[in-house]
Amino acid sequence: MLEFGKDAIFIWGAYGISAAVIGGLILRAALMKPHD
Amino acid sequence: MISYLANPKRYLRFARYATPVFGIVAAIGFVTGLYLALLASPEDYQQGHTVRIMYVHVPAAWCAQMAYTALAMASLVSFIWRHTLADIAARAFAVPGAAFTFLALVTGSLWGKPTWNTYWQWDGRMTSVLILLFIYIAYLAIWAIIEDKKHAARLASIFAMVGFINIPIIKFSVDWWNSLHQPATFSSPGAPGSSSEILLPLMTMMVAYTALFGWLSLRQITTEVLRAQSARKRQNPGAKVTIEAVDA
Repeated sequence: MLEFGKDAIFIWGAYGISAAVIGGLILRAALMKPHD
Repeated sequence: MISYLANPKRYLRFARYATPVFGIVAAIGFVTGLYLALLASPEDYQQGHTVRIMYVHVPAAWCAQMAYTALAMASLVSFIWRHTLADIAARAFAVPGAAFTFLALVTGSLWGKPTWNTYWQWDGRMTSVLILLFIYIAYLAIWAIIEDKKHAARLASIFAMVGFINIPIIKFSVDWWNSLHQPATFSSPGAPGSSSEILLPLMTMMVAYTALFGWLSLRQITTEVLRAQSARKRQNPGAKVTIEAVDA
């Protein structure tokens, strides 16, 4: 399970960067305040 | 639909219900999609496990282009009718759009190394997507640099409409020029690359990414509209807030 052999680094790299960027977008949106 | 939502009050009423719906669809989509993509789907007979990168690469590329199309449409509305809510919407699409473009490039590069033995190739598809990222950055820079927001809105909308020429170039680049990318697969059901075992996680992730884009955009538009309304109220207490008054 979740063992992707020799290409694991590319797969986890792609999912890791996606998670980081999407997490950042979600955090940015969640922390938006309608009043300054 | 667009003219209905052009009224800030009606927009806010719509967003109150639509935002959580998009959020819930995105959350369910990501949980299901990640399970299908990483655990339940099989290896590809040619690519092996690296096919799993497709489940984050293709939705990111799709959202990058969808976001820019939405941005260009909102800019067109802004340019013709000088509608401030259209400017707010266009700006709201830009940051997620740029982020998804960045993800499409990086995940594509990470997919390219084990598949094509190269991280980067200056072919039509990759180059046009890189140009899309630069267009997003330039669009955001226009808003950031120009202090007069009405002037910035005018310039940004013209720039966004001109930049839209890049979207069909991205789409047809694989047909027009020699490319490492394969031609369109979705339009040819039954093709080797579109078996249900691959389509199900891919489509689930596409729904999740699209719903996330909707949630992000609605959150930002709502925030900007409320900010503009409160600024207007501070300036002129008791004034009725109209769309002309919603000025970021």
